[in-house]
Amino acid sequence: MRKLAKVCLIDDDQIYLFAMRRIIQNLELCDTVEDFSNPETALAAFRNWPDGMPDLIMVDINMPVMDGWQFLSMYQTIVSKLSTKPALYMVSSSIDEADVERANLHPLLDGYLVKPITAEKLLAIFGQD
Amino acid sequence: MAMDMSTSFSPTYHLDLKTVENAERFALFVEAVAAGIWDWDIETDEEWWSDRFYQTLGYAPGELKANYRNWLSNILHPEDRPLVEDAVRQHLQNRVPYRVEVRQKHKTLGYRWFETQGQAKFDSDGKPTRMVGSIIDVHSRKTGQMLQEKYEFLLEEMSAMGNIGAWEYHAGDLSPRWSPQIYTIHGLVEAEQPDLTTAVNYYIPEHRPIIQEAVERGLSEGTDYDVDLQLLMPDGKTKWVRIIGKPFYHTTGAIAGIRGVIMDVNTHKTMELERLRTINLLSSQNNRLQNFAHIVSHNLRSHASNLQMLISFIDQEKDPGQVQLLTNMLRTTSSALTETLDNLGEVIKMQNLTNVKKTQVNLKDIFDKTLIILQGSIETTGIKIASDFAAFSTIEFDQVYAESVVLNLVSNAVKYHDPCKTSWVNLFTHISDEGRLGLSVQDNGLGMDLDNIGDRLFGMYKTFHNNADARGLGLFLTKNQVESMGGIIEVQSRPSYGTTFTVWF
Repeated sequence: MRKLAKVCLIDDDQIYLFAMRRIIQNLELCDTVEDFSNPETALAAFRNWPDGMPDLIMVDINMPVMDGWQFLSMYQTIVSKLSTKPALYMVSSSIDEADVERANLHPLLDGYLVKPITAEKLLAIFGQD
Repeated sequence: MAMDMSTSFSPTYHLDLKTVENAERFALFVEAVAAGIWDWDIETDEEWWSDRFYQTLGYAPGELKANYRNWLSNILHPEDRPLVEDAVRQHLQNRVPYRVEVRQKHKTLGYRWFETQGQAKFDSDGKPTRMVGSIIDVHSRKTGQMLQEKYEFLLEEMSAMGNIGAWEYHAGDLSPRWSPQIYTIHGLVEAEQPDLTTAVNYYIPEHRPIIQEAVERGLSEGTDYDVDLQLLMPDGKTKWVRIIGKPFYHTTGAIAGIRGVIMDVNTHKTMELERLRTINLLSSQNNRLQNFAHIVSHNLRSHASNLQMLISFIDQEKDPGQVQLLTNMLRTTSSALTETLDNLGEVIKMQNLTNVKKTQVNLKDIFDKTLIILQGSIETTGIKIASDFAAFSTIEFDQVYAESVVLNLVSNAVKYHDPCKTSWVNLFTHISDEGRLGLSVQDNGLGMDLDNIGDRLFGMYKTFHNNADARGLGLFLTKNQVESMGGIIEVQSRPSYGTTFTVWF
């Protein structure tokens, strides 16, 4: 398994962000974990990130100001110029079939993960990368 | 010759001459009238039929054997035989005038209608000896009359079965003309025609202007109309009727009046309205259930998964400081879960509408109460709150819902004020052009981009600002409370200019 340089988490749930950071660090899956509770801040960061894009992005669906789907449409214009695109996963505690279906059909997404995210689930994703 | 005869003194001769003359005159007469003549010798049963008699039945003169039996059995329609035999007996025994309409078999055309009448001659003992009469073809009149009777019957039956009445109004007349069925539909006894104003006043007050205007426009502009309105019945109940009106014209092209029908559509209309009400109720309940499923699926699950993760960390953690930190997080998650459950409780409470009732609610009192509840946040933010109840101050609404709606709208306005501005909130009542009562809560706060938010604004657990207090349930509850009372909630908003929520009662 290759250790990733940078992972980016976007979620408005502080407890979830804390837990994910902890699991990733414990498993030593990557060097840097960036987290954003507001997707707009994440997009702003992507636009002028001096060190390039993260290797993996995990974004929540249900967020107040901008939801995961809205984030995707903005994100599309940013990554369309890149030669190598980050791996992108949609994360939610929603087990709604409509969300799963929509995520599976979305060209930018590599997968849909249902919370809670366990070490096993993370290892599976990082292993693929 | 006639002169000679009349001056003759010989009675026998005179008589003979008279007989000859009469016979000639009779022969002429028989040929001249359009009727067929028959002469029946009652004792021998033999008959004499005139040429026209034969012709009327499609035969050559003398082609048939002329006697009463033959006529009864072969010419007369079997169904009419009892009628004829009875009429003849009545005439011969009781001298009742003999005149019947019967079917006789034409040689080529089949049975046709004839009118036949006759007169018997009686001897000195009162015994009938012969009977003379005529037949006239009345087929077209009779069939026309029968057809008319048939249509009249059908029309009457249809109008009764379909509960449809016809009416006609001639421009300038005092009263419309009504068919009997219209009285039945109105629950009235057939008496004098009501005048136009009385007829309009049979409808419920809110429908009177509709029919009034339809009639006026029909008479002035020649427009048809087809409307469903409610009648106010004599017993105080209401009944849905469909009224169709079409103008008719003088030969000059001027509008002469309107004619049309009134149909009793109460059963269908009531069912249709009930169906619509049920559909609306079901879709709003369905929406709430979907939201409910969503909140259960999403919010409860996210708390549960956080709890699960935190507990697994605590299990593995040796450092007491870290355990303390994790325990605090566990506490935060636990109270968030409790709050979510409380919110679910509020939603469930709203599904149960049994305690909800409309009363006269004073908005000004509710506003004052709201200010007391929100006193703390109003003072810390320094927002100016104004109100204006000049248009109206009381409405028909559920008291608890009204308090909740006003509190939610005002607290939203306070919550999403713009800290960079001198903020204000204005609550006021107003009446639309259509006469609908409105309550607006206007602010100059942060505002929202409604193009982005769209119909998610009133969904459960949607917050659109990074605000710690934002629970996202307020507008969901408000919309549902307003709609369950038959109202509408509207929103206008522009980022950094402010938001106006309007409730139409």
